[in-house]
Amino acid sequence: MRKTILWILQIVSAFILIGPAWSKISSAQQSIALFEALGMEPYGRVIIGIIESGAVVCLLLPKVHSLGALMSLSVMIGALIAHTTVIGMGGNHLLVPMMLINIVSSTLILYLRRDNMLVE
Amino acid sequence: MREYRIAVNLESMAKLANRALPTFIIFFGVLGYFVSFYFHFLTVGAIILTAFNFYLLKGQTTHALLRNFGILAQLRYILESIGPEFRQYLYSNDTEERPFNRVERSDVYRKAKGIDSSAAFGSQREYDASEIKLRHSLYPVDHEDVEPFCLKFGEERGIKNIHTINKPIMISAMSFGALGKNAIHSLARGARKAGITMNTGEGGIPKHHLQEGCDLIFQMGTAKFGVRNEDGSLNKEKLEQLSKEDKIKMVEIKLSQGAKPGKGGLLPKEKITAEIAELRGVPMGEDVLSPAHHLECVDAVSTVKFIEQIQEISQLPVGIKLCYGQKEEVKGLLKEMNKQNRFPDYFVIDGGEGGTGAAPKGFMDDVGVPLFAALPIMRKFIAELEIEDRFKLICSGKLINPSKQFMALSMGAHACYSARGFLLAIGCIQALQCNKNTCPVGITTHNPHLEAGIDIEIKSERVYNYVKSLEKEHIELLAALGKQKYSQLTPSNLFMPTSLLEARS
Repeated sequence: MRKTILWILQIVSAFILIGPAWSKISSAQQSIALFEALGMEPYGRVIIGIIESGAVVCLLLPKVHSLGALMSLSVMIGALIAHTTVIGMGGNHLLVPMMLINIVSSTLILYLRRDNMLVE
Repeated sequence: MREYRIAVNLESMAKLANRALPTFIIFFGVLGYFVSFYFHFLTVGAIILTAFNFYLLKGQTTHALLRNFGILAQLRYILESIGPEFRQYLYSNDTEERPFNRVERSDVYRKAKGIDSSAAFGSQREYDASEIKLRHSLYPVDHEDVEPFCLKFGEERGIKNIHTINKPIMISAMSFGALGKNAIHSLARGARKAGITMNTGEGGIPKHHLQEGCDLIFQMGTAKFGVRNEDGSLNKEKLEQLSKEDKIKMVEIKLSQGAKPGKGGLLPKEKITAEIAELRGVPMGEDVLSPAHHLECVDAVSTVKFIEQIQEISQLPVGIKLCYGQKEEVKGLLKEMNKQNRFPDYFVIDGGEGGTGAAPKGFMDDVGVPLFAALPIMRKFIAELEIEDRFKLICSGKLINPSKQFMALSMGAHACYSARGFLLAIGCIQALQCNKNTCPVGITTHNPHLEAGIDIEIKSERVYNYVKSLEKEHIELLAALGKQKYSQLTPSNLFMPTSLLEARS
């Protein structure tokens, strides 16, 4: 039961991250515009794209789920800061729910795996 | 008067860290907003650490230290987790570790690699009167005059299948299960090359041992793995069939062992693979607990009867292994044997200081009499009953170097068993994880990734070198003690400290 819940949470967190990770790595126009607004284009975009991709991989690989969850949580908190302080929430009405879901699910993964953190 | 000194107060530092973390969020947050968004990398880090710290201080309740001091107290757990490695590599001195210190281990490593194992500038040991020492002769004999060792098991009963050993050292009982298959193959191949006999341990049908073609002693533990009926009683047909195997030379009934005397064997579930379950006839996924005694052995009379039964079924020399415990019981067993005029072909006295098995800590530490205290008592009983020529005496318990083996041989043993000496020879680094299936050198594990580290051919060569080196030093010691043959070794060769002399009485 616990394992099933963890896998659902891991897949949800990874699924939410795939889109943003790909748009950053593939230099999508929308992504470039966002990072120009933050003053982090192109290095910040690439670094965060790599962290997001790493999080997706780690969440789905055995033994490093909680490392993936930690990366995912970090990126999402950063995204929340970016959207609340600089970019704003306009445009995509799914954005806030997605970020919150990811933050909650990543936190839950870390909590449920607290006895064996980062690398099992 | 004021003292201008710098001191570290860990308690204050921990409290400071608890207050500083939330402040960092604001600090980096402001920098991230007004200077560069890159500062928010640090803001995110501070947020996560603060949340984690909050959980440690207010959420979890299991660790008082973390509850009181928060995240910096994690240092204790981090350092504690890597402590054993640090102590072994950096801080413990050469004679400090248990069960074998670095000096003892290095000696075996050098012997196993065929490197000169002489030392310089004096002994590393406490050279006072608290240890047993060997007494040398004023008139040593020449090495050439030392007679080769030869011991015949079963000759007392005049049976057909006598087993002869030509070296006073054998590999003690370690089952496939306790050890991985590569380790078993290395030891068995090494035993074949060196011409020594190996005990199979109580691991059921010794499939891997048999593949290497060395002389074997089949050990029958209290659960009788490999020769049991479903209810745990003896399956005579299976024992008879196994005894007919060409390479099985003797059968050993294990009554108790030094690692956990009075308690049955324990194989943790982590180490039970499908193959082990099949060879032993046990289920997977649960710890296998052997009963504390053989169903057939409840007192001296029934034990002697059981030994007789095994002798008749197997038609091989049969020994019993026990760790010396209660004086009256052991003496009673010997008396009963004498009364019935039925003896095992050999006795194994296992010191309470053994061994490789997984055992509760209390049993390992505090149950069972140590070998060098038990052997003289056994010898006394045997002399009292005048049964010296009825069976052979083998002993075991930390006998990894020639001088310790000689002490045991002088106290009345005819031959020695060693288990951990041979494990060290094939590369054991004393990581103390034999019960966890995580042995980093792949010896006591069934994890294929860890087992892959063992090159059977190289490791078997180490076993061979170790035996050859022991043999060479045995001859040197024998000559130094002024003896021409092993049978001339007596307790008068030993300097005994007062504490051990008292224990004898």
